[in-house]
Amino acid sequence: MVDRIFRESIKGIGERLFNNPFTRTNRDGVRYRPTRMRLPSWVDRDTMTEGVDGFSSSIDINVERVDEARPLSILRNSPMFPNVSKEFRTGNLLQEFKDRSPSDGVEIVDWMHISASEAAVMSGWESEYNENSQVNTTSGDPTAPHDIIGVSDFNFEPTPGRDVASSGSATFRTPDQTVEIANNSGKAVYGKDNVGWGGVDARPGSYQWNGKVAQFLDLGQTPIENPVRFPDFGKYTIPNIFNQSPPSSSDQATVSFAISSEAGQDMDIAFRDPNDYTNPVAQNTVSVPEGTSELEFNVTANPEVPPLLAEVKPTEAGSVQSIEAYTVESQ
Amino acid sequence: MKYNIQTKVDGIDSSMMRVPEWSGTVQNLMPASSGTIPDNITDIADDTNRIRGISVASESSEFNPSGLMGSGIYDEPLSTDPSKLMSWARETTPVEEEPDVTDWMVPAKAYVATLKARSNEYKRAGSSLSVAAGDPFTPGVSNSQMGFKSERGQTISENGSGTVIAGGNEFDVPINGNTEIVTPNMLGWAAATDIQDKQWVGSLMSVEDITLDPSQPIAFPSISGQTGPLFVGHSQSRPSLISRVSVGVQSSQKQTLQFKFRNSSDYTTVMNSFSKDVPKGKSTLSFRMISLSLEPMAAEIMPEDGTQAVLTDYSVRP
Repeated sequence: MVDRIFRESIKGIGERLFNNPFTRTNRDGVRYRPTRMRLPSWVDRDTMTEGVDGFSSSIDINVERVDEARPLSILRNSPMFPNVSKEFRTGNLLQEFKDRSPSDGVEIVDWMHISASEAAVMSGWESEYNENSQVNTTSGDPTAPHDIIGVSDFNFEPTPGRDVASSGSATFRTPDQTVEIANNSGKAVYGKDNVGWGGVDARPGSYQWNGKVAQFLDLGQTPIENPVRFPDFGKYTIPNIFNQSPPSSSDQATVSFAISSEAGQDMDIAFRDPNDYTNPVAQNTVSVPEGTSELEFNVTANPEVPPLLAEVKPTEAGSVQSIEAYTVESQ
Repeated sequence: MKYNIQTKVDGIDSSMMRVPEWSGTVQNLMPASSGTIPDNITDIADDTNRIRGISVASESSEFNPSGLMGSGIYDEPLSTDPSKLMSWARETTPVEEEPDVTDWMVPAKAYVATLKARSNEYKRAGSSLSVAAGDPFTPGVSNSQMGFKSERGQTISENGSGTVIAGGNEFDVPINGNTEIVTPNMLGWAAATDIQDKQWVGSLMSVEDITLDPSQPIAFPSISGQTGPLFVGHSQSRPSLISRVSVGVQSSQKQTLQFKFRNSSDYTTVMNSFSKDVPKGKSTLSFRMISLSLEPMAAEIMPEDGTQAVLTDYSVRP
């Protein structure tokens, strides 16, 4: 395994370590922004190589319900739609957008309400996630006008919606590959140094369809204190992906976070190699009850627990609202 | 690698600029490091920056730019002409045939293709430019660094402006007009056009990673009579009080270009500026900059609205 530690300095501030550069050129000569993890100052080559190789793949997760489900009021407003209700489920905003701007067949048509609902939820998620990091999202119609270019490096082919519905999938372009994403589903796509997500909803007979895209630019770094929602599209959700970064060098660390859910739900928790995101390191599935639950588990590695990409995802849509208080304590 | 600024300041994602390793430490490197040469741009009064010898040499009177890129989304014409792009969008967008396609999607498609092409050209120059276009009311428009507030076309018509939000800060964008969006750490541009009762088209462009020494064509964004700026890093390869600058430009008509040189530690601080006429066709604009600060700057080049222009190169010596 080869480590990748990039040293950068900021004028007047000093040196910082990252696992990827700010921009990189792909094999076609196209410049893109990798997904970056800021690395703690104590990491060295051994941490990033032997530490990742030696990471404990058996994770025993303790779950304890501590409170009722958190109210929607803890979520942040969308900056674009500040007067729209706080929500993590796009379907619950649909009527609000229909009431706000009814379809008239001239300026407003139905797919715009769906895209606006998705934009409101995703831009609210951005606000929560982007406290000290950066995820970039967009939603719209990938055919025409293709108003989903707000995310630079992940995109859909401009295929008419009826063709997506009949073929069963849409083509999603990333900095280094194209992948098919099934209709009425979402998929997190991991490249070696980049992470994006695409969601597809096309209807038979319609020219337009609803595409949504997220590009993780700077992974949110632990500790993450404020609640961060799971954008929920009715049949699928966007996972939350963080930089699980131990504060100091140690061969054992305790990881904890809280999940708020309106119903019992299984959660997938997976870790990936910071040197190559296509390389899964460990994963587990845990059940959380209705309410707010604290999850805690220990991780070990030799010589020391490395920073890892951590993905937390509800296995089904509809109930899991948010994650908060994600911390790592070195033991 | 050394950068001028943190990736995020006050909640706004930065327009990063790669700076030389000596940036911020010039005092230690200069032969005359006796304390007479300050090492921080903020120590320098803005009026110490001088620009001399501005000249323009015409090379060709034809405006026929080559080397432009496409959006990579569609097979649209490779052109800087907004009317050509609009005709293409009108021909390829089935407004009459498809019930879920409406009028605003035609200009939006043209602007999406135009702005994405400019983004691709900027990327080719080793950097990163984020763009977006669409209807800000419903479904909304945002890019990686900012977004339009969702307002009806009628509302912004009455107010005279739409609103761009970046990191909790709001910026007015005049209707049927455009404006720079510049904060201490971000360089951007926005336009509000094609205003109907509810729908309108908002266009956004912002720099994620500012280009240095571009040597291949980058067209200035031009949509519906609105022409936007390009931002280019102005950085010397070694510390020198005098730098010689060469700017290659192609213009669709005789026009006045505005240059601003922004402090790379705070883009809202303009260190110097000038305007210069360039003829139709291809020309090279040259000037000398004399500056005690020695620090890199962000050069902003702004053509006149309604014109088409292409930056072919921007070089700073040493």
